[in-house]
Amino acid sequence: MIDGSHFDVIVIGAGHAGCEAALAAGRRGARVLVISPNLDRVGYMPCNPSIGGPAKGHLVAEIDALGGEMGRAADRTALQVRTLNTGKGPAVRALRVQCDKTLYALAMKEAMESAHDVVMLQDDAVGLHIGTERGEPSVTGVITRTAGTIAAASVVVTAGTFLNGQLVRGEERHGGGRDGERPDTSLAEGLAGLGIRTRRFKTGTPPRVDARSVDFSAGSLQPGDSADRWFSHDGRLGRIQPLTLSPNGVIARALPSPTQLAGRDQLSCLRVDTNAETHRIIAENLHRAPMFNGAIAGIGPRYCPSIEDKVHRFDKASHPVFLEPEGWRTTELYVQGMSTSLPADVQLQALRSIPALRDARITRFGYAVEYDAVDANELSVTLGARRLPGLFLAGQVNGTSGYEEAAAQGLIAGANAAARSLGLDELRLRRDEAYVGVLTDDLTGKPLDEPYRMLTSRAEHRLLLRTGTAPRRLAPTAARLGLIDGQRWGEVASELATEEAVVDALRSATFDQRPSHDALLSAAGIDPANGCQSAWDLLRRPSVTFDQVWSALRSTSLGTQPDVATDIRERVTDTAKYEGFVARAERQASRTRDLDRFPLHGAADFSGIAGLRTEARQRLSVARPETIGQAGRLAGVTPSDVAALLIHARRESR
Amino acid sequence: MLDQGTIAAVATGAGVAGIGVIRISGPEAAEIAATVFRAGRHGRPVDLRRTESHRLLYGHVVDPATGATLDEVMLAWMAAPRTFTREDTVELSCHGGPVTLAEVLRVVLAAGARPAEPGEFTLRAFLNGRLDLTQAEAVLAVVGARTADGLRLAVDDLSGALAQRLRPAQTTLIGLLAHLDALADFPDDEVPPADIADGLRLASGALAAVLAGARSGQLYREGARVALVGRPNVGKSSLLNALLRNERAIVTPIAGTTRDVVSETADLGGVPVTLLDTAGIAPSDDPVERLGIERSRAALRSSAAAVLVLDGSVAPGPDDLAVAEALIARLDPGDGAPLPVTVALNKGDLPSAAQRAILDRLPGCAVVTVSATTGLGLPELESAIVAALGAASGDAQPSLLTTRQRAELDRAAAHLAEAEAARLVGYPLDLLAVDVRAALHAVGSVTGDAVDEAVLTEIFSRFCIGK
Repeated sequence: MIDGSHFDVIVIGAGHAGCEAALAAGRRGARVLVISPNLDRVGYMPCNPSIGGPAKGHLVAEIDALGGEMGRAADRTALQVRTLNTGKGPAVRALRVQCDKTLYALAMKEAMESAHDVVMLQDDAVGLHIGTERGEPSVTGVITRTAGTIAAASVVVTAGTFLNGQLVRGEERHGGGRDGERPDTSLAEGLAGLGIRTRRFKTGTPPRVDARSVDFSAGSLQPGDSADRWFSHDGRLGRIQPLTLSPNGVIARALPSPTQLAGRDQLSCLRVDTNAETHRIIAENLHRAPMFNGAIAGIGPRYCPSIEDKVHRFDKASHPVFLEPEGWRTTELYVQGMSTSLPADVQLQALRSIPALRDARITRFGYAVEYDAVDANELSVTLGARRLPGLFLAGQVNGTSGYEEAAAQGLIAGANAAARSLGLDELRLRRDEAYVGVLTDDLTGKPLDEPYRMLTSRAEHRLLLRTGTAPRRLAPTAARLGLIDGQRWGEVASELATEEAVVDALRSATFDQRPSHDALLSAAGIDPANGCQSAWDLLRRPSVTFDQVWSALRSTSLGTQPDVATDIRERVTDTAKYEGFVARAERQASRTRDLDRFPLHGAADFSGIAGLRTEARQRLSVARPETIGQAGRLAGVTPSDVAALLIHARRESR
Repeated sequence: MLDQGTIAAVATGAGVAGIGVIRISGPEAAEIAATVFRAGRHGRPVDLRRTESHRLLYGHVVDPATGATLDEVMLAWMAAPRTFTREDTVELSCHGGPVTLAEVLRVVLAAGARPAEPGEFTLRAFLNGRLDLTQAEAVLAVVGARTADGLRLAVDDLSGALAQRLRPAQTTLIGLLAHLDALADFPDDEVPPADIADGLRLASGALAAVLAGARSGQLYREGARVALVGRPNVGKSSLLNALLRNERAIVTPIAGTTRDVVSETADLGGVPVTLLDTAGIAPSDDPVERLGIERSRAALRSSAAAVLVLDGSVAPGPDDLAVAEALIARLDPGDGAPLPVTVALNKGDLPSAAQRAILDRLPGCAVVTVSATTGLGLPELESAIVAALGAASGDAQPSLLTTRQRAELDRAAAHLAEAEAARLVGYPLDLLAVDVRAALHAVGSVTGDAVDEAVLTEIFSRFCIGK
């Protein structure tokens, strides 16, 4: 670079994917340069002001276990914390945190600037510099508009929705990566020139309204949880200093008053509902909706539909809408559930049909963005381009939607970009090991015809992937690859040891039917033991809680039992109550796991494999899966084809 | 695992049989066969490549090293691809016993073929697209069939009948799983309600029907032991001989027949039934006779059903009653499986009312009047025995399952039971997906919709050499 510095990894983009990529590469010892067209937009949240929720919260827990920053940033800037799906099974319970989006970006930028060997540069990346490696083309650097060509052995592209981005709202249409920012056309051209396949995807965002124009009495306030919950390891250990800005003056009066919950101030959201009038307004204006009149050809996410889509597709009397504060010191509210690209006048009319919003003032109108997404089948599960060594892609540019999906990919791509530049081990995660593994496997191995959102149903082994088990599942890998340091690993290991000690204590303490035991149990609110039962057996009863069992145990001859941290209590309770399910899920996983252990490397030419049907041969040649497991998940590949591949693999291994 | 060379093996089962077939498959099949085969009475060498495919040639197998003639054979030349393996194939139908077959195979191997590994012909058929995985598995059942009906069932499965029969269970499970997965992702009020209990019951029922058919299918393949009991001289042996005379398939003498319990296998209504002709069970002081009686009781314990033979021409005596007592005790043993009893009234001249003292104490047992000498009532007795064994009758559909398939379906049923138990306890519904998914995988591994290493290893290691 012109100032004489050298880099191992260059990350293009500083959104959720770019930040995690840079930080992961940096933690592995790479010298990292982050290039962003706007350094005031590092870790920016252009859509909803929240992190987590089902499946997404699972990703955040895994990012944290792998040493990533997203969970810490969300914990530091939370303005409301809630556990969702508490009435469902342990696999789908998940944390969701509403954040102050300005503080979130600040926290993320601070983390970037605090990272050793990560530097940032405001510039436009206009192309990739291509050299050769063993006679084959490979990426050797980035060409920028201002600083010229900068060399690096690995480049991570996290271009979000910027590649040939077009913003659309009603009859309006103009180039843009997101509201107020220009699109990227040079890099898009550069990637196309390298033969990388792309397709056109669409996503959108709802309008924002001014809290001063909202009647909070006409909806129901949704407060946060009183339980003390954190995404991050640091949060659980009490090391997070929350970044809060107490609202005051006009803003304080406009927003619902903060409540002290779990030792921190939390803001409430407001739930309102659409009604017949809202739906009528939208239905009558469908011809002006770009999604319906053909102005948008890009494919939108089925799982995050616009309000016009919901009204058109579902025959329901109303849809829920949540008004979410975007920060402590702003009156802007995010209108969750009303993503739309209808014309501005229809947006206003539709919002005002909801009683709480009858005087609503829109501060920003919703819009759709159409953009080029790379066909992620071009990538391996390391998120490295198969046909162009040195190029990694992560985030929305790969066709996903959501901050968490982007951040998870960024971490994988960054860790693997560092691996390539420094000759380290790669980070590959299996489907039965992490949601991140499901994400990378789906993205790179399956044809994707709409934006990909993480869902718990995509993870067939989800019972094994509970958020609480993320450190157990992933910390050893993270430690081995240098994504977490020795001190952190020590802390995780000790936390896991504590958990095991608690389980042992429960398993070894027994209660029988003697009167003194009956008294102990009844004092704890537990029905008498059935014959001789361990504390563990008692905890397995559906109605018995950890605290009940632990208090009974404390009074026994086992002596004083220490207090147990909330998250350990919950993990142990889940382990006890769902032991049988988990064991069966584990057996099921081990049955299918084997297929992912058979690599198909070198099998670029599937014509030489006996027993494959023609259709399968074609599908495989296009998708080029890396393992037999991945091959089997491709549409058009039958179990018989999988058997043929297995026989081929066994033959090869002889 | 395997190369693409030419392989050969004895393609018929082990043991003494009229004809043994040696199959040679692979690119060199024609040349290797020609090396050891001399056509016609004068022993002309042949060029199979110039011979019309799918023709039988008469001739002899010779040892090219010594010129010695080993056996008189029929040679079937079948050019690729219209063969079992879709490769050039030669089959030599030999006349000799095991020793001759071994000799013929030896010279075929000496001429350049490699011994086929277990299941290799079928594996090649599979790899060359001739069979899919489930059909490959069904080949095993075809080869193992012991009666004509057993063979028909196996051939049914070869054409996908089993997968068809499992389809209702599979469809229900897929619907259930989709619903449970949706529950995991979306708020309850956004998921249309579905009756999980109904779905589980439907799927379990569909699975139970196939498993019930499998139990009778297992009867058709593996047969069952049936003890003929009765006081001495009631006509058990003549009845046994009559049943054996009525055979429609192969009767194989079973080695290890004791002096006191004679056993023979007969084809009764398609089920290979091993009939145990027990010594009469009657109280006795004679130590030798008592030993025989003890063995008869043991035979009874090892049987799946019993035929109580009574002399229909006289009223039952104390000995008959004593035998009946032993059976009545087993009708509803409290522990263990009940032993179904069929009553055969031999020499049936008297009205069966004369036997009321015994028959009244065997409620629900079929009573058939037979004559071992004239053959009267024998078909009815056969049907009654087969029905007592639990073979599905009439419209129920027996199917043949391999041990693996049976284990998978049992596993599926167990998972559905777990899911139902969890539902009853009130666990969150999305948790049930674990068991429903596992059940679906198990069913899929039988229909061929799911494959994993374990399935494949199991299937291709179970073929006996040559098939």
